[in-house]
Amino acid sequence: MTDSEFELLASRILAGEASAEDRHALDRALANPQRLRQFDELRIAWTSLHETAPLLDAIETVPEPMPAHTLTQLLEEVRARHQPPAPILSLPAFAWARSLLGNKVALATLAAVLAVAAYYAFNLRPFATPPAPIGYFIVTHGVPSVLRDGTPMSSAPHRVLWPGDELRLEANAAGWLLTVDGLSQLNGPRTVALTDGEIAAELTPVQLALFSPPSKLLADPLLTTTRGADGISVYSPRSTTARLMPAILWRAESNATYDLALRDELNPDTPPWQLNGVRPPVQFANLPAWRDRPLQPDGVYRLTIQQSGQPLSATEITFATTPALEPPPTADPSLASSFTAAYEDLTAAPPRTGDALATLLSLPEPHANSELALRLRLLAFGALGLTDEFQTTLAQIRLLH
Amino acid sequence: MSDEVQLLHRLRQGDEAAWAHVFPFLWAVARRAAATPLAALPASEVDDVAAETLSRVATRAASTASLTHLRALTATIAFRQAISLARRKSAAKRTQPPTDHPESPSAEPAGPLERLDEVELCELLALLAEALAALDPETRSFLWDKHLIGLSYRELADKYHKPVGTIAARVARGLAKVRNSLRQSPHLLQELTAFLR
Repeated sequence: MTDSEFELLASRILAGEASAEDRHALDRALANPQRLRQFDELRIAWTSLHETAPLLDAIETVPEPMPAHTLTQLLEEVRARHQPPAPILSLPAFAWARSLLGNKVALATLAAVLAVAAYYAFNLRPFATPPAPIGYFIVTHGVPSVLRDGTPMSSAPHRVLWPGDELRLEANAAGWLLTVDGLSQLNGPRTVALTDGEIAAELTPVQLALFSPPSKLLADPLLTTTRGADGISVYSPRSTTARLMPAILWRAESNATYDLALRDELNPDTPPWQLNGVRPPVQFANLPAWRDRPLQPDGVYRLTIQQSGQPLSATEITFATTPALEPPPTADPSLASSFTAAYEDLTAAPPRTGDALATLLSLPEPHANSELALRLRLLAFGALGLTDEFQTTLAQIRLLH
Repeated sequence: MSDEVQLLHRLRQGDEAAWAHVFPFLWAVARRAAATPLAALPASEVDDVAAETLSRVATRAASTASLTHLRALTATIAFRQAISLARRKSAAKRTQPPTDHPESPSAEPAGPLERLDEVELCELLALLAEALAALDPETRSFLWDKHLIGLSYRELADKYHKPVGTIAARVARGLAKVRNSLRQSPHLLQELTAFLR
């Protein structure tokens, strides 16, 4: 018996799906001490997987909005832990003052210095506020560099650009520059100086979400609709989708499973797509019973999601498929194509908000919570009127600065 | 320096922006782990356990080697905190005069996982998560459905439209790879041998 044959036999035994013949074969094999040890190890691997499956499932959970007050409190704890309060005069830097002048004199001297500093701070320079991004650069090839105040920034697959930044692309470098005017492709060799340009008085929601300073990101006008707090927040598909096999995403309670029903509103005789006892994300394309029956272009569909066994929790949304469908997203899209696709979905007419959210919510860490991803998510959550998600994302953006 | 290494470095330095990035990920992990049916906590207590868990995780970032490890640590702490809370509630209920309340499910033993200490359970979860992540997606789905949902080989074959033999062979191959990952940690394998009999 080869190792592979033995592993197959052991798996059938451990799964409780072995025949009497399998059990005899195992008994014979275990007479060999090496096989006995192998079986023990496979049993441990099997039992470990079985026992830890719910926790492994938890580890793979997609991020979900957390209460803003909890996030704030946790960040305050982080701050307090890393910046322990200390009497300023006890710092080593003020040892000279303590030894030469004594604490009272040193305190008075420090107060005078601070007063002078405050005068200059208030009168000569305004307090620095987080600037408004002037653009975002998303790398597709090579390692472009960004100079800020003459200093090269560390390389990154995407970067927020501030007024005064200089973007340098060598011959082999390329990427997408996203500015208030939209997306444009840049190929090296090229140097682009980012300067404050003239900005239209009336910004669109996309421009507001991406290019306003954090303090100007407000629920009005970005949170365009209000939605009841009782329903299930559905992220994808929403409004219009260009995907015939869309990912289905919603906000799930921790210990709940859900039942889904998808109905063709234009062709009521079409049997519904149904699924019970599932949790998000549900990938249409991965379900053998569904993928053979993709949605139709230019269709209208009604999605019903309810917690299993709780019909009163049912939430219904209606969405349309676009008449001219775009190619389906690749199985393993690059980071750059994910960002550009999300932007294009959000700026399409009509916007494909759910498609954008499905892309943004599947980004890996740490890109999922980069400034560009957060601002695009803010725009999408706002457009869908998802207040909790909007406020949490807004808090995350403000904490970046 | 990779993005992950950079992010971990910033977390260790107490960079608030970095923590603001990862807390929503860890929040979801903590809530899911705390919602274990073994503890059967109501939603409000699940949230309390998740918040307490993240507070503890933030103090231990220095000892985490990867984001997977950080997630594993979060799941471990949340799971154990939830069980511990359920135990305390159950004990408090037992000291009260008998009522007509049904027996709380939280009095149930939490299983062999509880016999591993926090460090061991965290290490086990991180090893298994990394081993599963290294499998091809289909094999991972087979193992997932087998262990999490409890599907039989026949049910897996029906779900994925593949012969039972193919499913069984892929599950066996995946299991062997998980076993190989556990071999990386002989002391853990020894502990598991004792506990998971």
